[in-house]
Amino acid sequence: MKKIALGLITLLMLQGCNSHDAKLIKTFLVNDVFKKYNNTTIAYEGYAFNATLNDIPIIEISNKDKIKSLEGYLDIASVRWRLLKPINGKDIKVQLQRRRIKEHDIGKIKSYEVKYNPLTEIKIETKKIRVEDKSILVNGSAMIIYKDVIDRVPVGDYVVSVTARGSKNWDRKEVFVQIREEDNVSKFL
Amino acid sequence: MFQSFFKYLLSLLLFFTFIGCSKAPITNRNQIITTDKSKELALGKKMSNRILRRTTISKNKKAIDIVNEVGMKIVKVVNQDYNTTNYEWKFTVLDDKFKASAVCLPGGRVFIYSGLFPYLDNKDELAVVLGHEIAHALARHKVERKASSIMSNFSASIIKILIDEDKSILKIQKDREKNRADEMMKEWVVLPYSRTHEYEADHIGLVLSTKAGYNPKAFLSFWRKFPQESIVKPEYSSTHPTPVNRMKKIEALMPSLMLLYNKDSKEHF
Repeated sequence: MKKIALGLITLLMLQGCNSHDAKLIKTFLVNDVFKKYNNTTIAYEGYAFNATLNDIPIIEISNKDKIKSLEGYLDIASVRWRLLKPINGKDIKVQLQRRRIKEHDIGKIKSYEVKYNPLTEIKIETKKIRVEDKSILVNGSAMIIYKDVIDRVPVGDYVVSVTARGSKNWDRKEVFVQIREEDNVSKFL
Repeated sequence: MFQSFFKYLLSLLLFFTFIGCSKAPITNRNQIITTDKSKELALGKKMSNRILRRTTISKNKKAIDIVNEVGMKIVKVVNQDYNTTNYEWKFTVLDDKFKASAVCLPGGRVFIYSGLFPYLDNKDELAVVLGHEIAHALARHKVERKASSIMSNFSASIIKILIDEDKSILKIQKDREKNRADEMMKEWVVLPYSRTHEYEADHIGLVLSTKAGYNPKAFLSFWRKFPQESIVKPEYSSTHPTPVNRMKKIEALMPSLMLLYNKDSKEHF
């Protein structure tokens, strides 16, 4: 035991030279906990992939209490993410990339779907467009029908559900997103 | 017993021989560095080639120009105050929307990933990032970490020898204790060392960027945009400190940084 104690003293000395922030670590087992987290299979909480909306990254929420629009949301526990900055609702481009640490769990991302759940009252303005409906054929030709569509996501606060379907499993990010008239995104770079 | 005590004594002697090899700029922290500057430059070139093989260089001209403008302004301050003859400062913008980071290799090659751009709102915030990276190279953190890993591996071996020599412990327990010794080294020496480097790079980088005429308060506005504490990865198991702790450290330095900024901005006019 004395020998082990001597070894520990060496360790403490090494730690002592290291700095303006020399603090002893609270537990020996912290790494075990971290390894356990990374080795477990998907928890369906969005940690298997990274995503951006209009090139703006989705990041972890560290304090949900600061987001007032989330107060009345029923499934608040599942919202773990937020978009870094508000975006414009027109032509929203979604990009996904699996996290390297989770590639054995989710596999190669094959497809994804995005759903917008408004948190505030929104005004939807639709417009009619002509589309071919191949399920209805008249004399061998597809029928032309009218569809109501929206060309932009209305201004408001949303919980956006981004689901990635991989070759091995799926995962979902529930993201707090603010849609605004103009991009509040800096055009600095 | 005498033999193991001798080994322990020898390790301590070696340890104290290394201490005080050099001092970090601005913070004056003692550093243990065993690599000479010419090797450091070669190491930087090797690492740079490895990065360039994996990532494409950005063609965003606006970003390239601004990064070079801000970076070179800070380098000018560095060249005035320190001997940087062995450095080849170069700034490269890389295309990777999912990587919000920057890196500086030994010898002064700085890479900034395009994933960091949404977090930057002005040149002052960019100066915070570039100053931090330049500080890593100036304080020779990469080679210092190399020396510290040699030391920690050495200490782990001593602990393992001591465990092996203890006849009162079963073999299975010995193996478990040896694994624990490696983990302890990581959590007690390697990771805190890395976090110390990050705090130090924040400190040195801010002094440099402030001297170059950029507002040090941008440090706070920049780090407020990041998740303050990660739910998945707590600070004690990470190589980097949490933004909230970084801001706490810098807030303490802010009065003197603002004095430097105001003095410096008067000199600019």
